[in-house]
Amino acid sequence: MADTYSAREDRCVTGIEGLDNILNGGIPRGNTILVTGSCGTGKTTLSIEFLVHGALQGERSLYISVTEASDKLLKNMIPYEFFDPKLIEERKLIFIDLPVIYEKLGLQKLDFTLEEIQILVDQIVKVVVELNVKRLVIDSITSICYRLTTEEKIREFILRLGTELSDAGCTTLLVSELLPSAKGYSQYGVEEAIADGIIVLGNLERRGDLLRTLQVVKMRGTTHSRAKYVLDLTPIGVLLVPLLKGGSVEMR
Amino acid sequence: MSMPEIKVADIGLPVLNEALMGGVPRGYTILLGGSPGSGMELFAKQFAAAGIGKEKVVYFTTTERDEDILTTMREFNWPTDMKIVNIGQEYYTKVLEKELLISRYRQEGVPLEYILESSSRGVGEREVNFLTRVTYEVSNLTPPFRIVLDSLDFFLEHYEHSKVLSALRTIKAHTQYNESVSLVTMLTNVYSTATQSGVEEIVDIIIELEMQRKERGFEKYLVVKKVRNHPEKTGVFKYYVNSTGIRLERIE
Repeated sequence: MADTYSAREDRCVTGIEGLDNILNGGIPRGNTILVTGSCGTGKTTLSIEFLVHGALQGERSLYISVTEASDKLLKNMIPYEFFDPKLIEERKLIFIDLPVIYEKLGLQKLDFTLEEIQILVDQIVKVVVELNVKRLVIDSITSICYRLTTEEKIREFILRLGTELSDAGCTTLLVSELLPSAKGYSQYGVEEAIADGIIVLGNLERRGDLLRTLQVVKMRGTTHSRAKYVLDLTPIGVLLVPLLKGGSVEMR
Repeated sequence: MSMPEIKVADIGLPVLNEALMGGVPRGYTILLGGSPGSGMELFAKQFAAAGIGKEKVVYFTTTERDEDILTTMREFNWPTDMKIVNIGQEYYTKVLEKELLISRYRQEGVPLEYILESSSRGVGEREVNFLTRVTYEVSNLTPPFRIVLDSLDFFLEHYEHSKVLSALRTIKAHTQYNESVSLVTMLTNVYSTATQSGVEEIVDIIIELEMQRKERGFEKYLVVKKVRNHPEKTGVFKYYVNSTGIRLERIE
């Protein structure tokens, strides 16, 4: 059970069945993790569950939605048994829409300047610090990077954000959308090099079934299993079980 | 055989009425040009006042406050019963005020309550097109009307010149069709030849206010540069301002 690890101050216990075992106790606090995979692999669900468990343990958790309106996302969360609407009322779990911030800061051009990147980072960090947020999900980092037209800008953005969030004691999941054609673990190739950890979600075809898989490829600050697990999305949340390898064909 | 009588409107200056066809032929659009400080705004108000009581007068302003316009008109004992459409004020509240806020937020960060209480569904408020705003307002007028547009410079500064010309053509056509009169002001020696001659080509009458530096101050001239189909009516007048407004003197 996840509770076994709750004593460890330096770990952010995900509360996701199986994942804390893989990570030897949870994500090292302050880490910035890339949760990457193609569409439908469970990135958003996994991330929100990570936040909900945090909120249930009394850690304020923040979800920043970049493309989808967060009220729509919330509706999708209601069927999950672990989700408690009270968390929202009590502001333990907070959803905000990045386009609101874009508008207020006049960041409506498709290509951000370095100055604007700094302004955006400052704003996100300001929200995290003022609300004393301990768990943050940005869904998706790819949509932000879309407006950072060069590798240097993407590097600058993720590096600054990661450093300042870590200083604030906030553990962050950056959701990264992967096109099946992409090489490596991230759309722009830069994100994966800077992140402290990478969790890859994928599809695997086995005897006519399309399975979801999870693999922790990298995690600074802890030993971890690098095996591939089968990820099940159930009404009680994400379940991870070891993958039985026979007859599998990997897909993106 | 008597001449067919031309229907005219009072331009607000008796000497100028006389020099034209006893007034401005109905259906005509006048361009009033000049340099800053030459008295274009005062001329515009005098022209507007000359229509009050006989025509529906609409005064579009891009630079003055409503009270400034009305105070000036009262100083000269002119009637003020007209509609003022304050584009400058609207521009301030819809565009400039927003820009001011943006620069403040970029410096200080967006206040938390604004981020927490709004959803991205409210983002992306439609930008106001002030050019369309004017043509729409004009298209709703019923004859006989009198339009003052002070000044065209605001629109030339913010919109593509071809679009401004197209809007001017719409205003002129509507004025012509409804046997009404319009006056637009524009700074001279500012725009490209293409724009300048584009505007001059559309209007029926061009009046320019000129100032010449003399030892003891300025000598002011009103030049009638173009009268459609009546090149013989062009001419130069001296002008001065007294308690009744702008007065003209013929140059012998």
